[in-house]
Amino acid sequence: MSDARGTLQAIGIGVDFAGVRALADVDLTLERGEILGLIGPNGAGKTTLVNVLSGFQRPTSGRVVLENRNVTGAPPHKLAVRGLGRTFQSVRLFGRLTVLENVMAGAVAGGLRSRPARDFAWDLLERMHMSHVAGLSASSLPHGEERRLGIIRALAIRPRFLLLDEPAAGLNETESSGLMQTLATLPEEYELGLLVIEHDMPLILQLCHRIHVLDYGKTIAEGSPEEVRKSPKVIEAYLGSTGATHSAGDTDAPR
Amino acid sequence: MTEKTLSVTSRPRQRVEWAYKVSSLLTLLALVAAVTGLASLGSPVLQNVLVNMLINVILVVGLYTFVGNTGVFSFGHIGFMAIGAYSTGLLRIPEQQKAALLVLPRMLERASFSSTQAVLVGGAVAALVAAFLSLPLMRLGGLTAGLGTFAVLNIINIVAANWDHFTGGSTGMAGVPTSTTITSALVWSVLAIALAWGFQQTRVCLRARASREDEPAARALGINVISDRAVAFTLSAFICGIAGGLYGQLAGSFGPSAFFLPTTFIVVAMLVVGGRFSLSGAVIGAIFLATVSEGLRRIEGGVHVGPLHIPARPGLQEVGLALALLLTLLLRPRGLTGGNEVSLLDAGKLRLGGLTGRRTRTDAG
Repeated sequence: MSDARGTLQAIGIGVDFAGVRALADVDLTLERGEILGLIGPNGAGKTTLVNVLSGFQRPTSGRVVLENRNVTGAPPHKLAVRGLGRTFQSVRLFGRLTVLENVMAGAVAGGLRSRPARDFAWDLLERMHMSHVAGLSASSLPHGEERRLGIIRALAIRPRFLLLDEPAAGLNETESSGLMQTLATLPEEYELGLLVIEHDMPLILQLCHRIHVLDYGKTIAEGSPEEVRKSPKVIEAYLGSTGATHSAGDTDAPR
Repeated sequence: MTEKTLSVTSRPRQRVEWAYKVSSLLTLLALVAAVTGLASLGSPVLQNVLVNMLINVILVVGLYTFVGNTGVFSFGHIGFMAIGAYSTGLLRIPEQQKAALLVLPRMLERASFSSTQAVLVGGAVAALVAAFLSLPLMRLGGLTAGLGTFAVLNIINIVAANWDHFTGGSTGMAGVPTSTTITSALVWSVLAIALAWGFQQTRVCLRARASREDEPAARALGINVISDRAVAFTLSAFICGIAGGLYGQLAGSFGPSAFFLPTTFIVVAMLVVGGRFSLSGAVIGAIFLATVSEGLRRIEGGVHVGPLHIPARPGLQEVGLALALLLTLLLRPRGLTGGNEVSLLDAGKLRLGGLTGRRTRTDAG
């Protein structure tokens, strides 16, 4: 489980885009060994927060602290080398490289030499049940395997913190429940802290130890799935503003 | 413990993949050797065309080393060829001639290197300049990178045309001993191909290729895109510098115009036509367009085909090459090779995906 060695913290994060407040004074802590859900209606600032944490977006105010080190404004590749991995909503695979090469690129970027990187990549692909397509080009994969490969590639850098931006987007029910089962094992198996942005409420409530809810760039709730589920602010956010178009909110919030 | 079981199950796969990669290198080398062998039997004119083709092979392989692996286009590499040619010239022109034609520091005037040494130094100087230029250039991407490298070509051209003391200005250099032969051109092109192939097996190259496919994703993995690209840029300039050194020792005399737009066009066309994402594409593109170009040159001068006389058509060669480029872009945007490595071994059977079906891991774990 989680130990005191490391946390990834966002402290008082604010982000302005040309006058639009995307995030305002958001505090978030991710511990190794835990799964933290990051939810909120569309446009709530979830991806922006992940971009801030992973160095893709410089915050207007606030700090990012990785294992007691202030890393605010550090470029993505430096954060990745320090143990922070992420995936993208749009997956962003290396299309013309093979599946194995995609994972190897991660392993090599994480500091392994070619040969160990290859072995490590194979091992990961086997454990995640994708070694049968290792030699195919990544662009030829079906959507479900694409998303899975995105996660395997991020795991290959051996991150201590892994941020997943909508890992189950576009997956069918079987695929996404399979994925969730895999995700649930990651924190212990790889001793990492997992942050998951997801729209599918039942899935996220089941998967996460803690949940952080954003709306209009502000934290409106934080706590165990049970607490968040009952929070009046969360119910209002999902029903009130975007409830009509937000299927995930519809299914969960009224309870 | 897990690592042991891992290496046992992975080793055969790795060996097979290695065999495929080596066979693709050998296929390319065999192709170059075969073309050389055939053409060397021809007339002196054809032999001259052949040496030029081999130099072009080196140039295209050099350009590919950067463009193919990073996906960033460059129109500046002929500038590195120029640097190679001039540097080699400075080291090879006999002392008295140097004194008559150029104004050089005493040490450089006396410098007398063997052909091989001079070619290597030429490559090294080009690499050095490229390493320096990569500091600002590698921050650019896409169209801006193309423009930036084009600016480099122009700068090198202007320096060559005006640095009279060292380069002979717009008249250029003369008196370089013409020591480039079919054999030496073949040996150097084999070395260039092997070097580019070797680079392809490195971690730097894998990272550069990953960045080529998706830069943000590469950065998210911890890849320093700029520094990996700079390495590829420097190595590719080294290879182009070698081509320049060979060219200088083939032509004997040359001026700045030899290293400008026409050469840039043909080398870029060769890479694009062959397929810019594979080493095979670079080599095959160079050989293919050199052949087409030579054929067109002969028709251009007017020929008799049996009773039929085709009159001279000046400019046919250029138009033909431009058409070849255009047709490739329209019909096969990824080039003749489609971005794949060509191998005499059956690629399909050896592909990892096909192999894994037969994998046994009964006693694993």
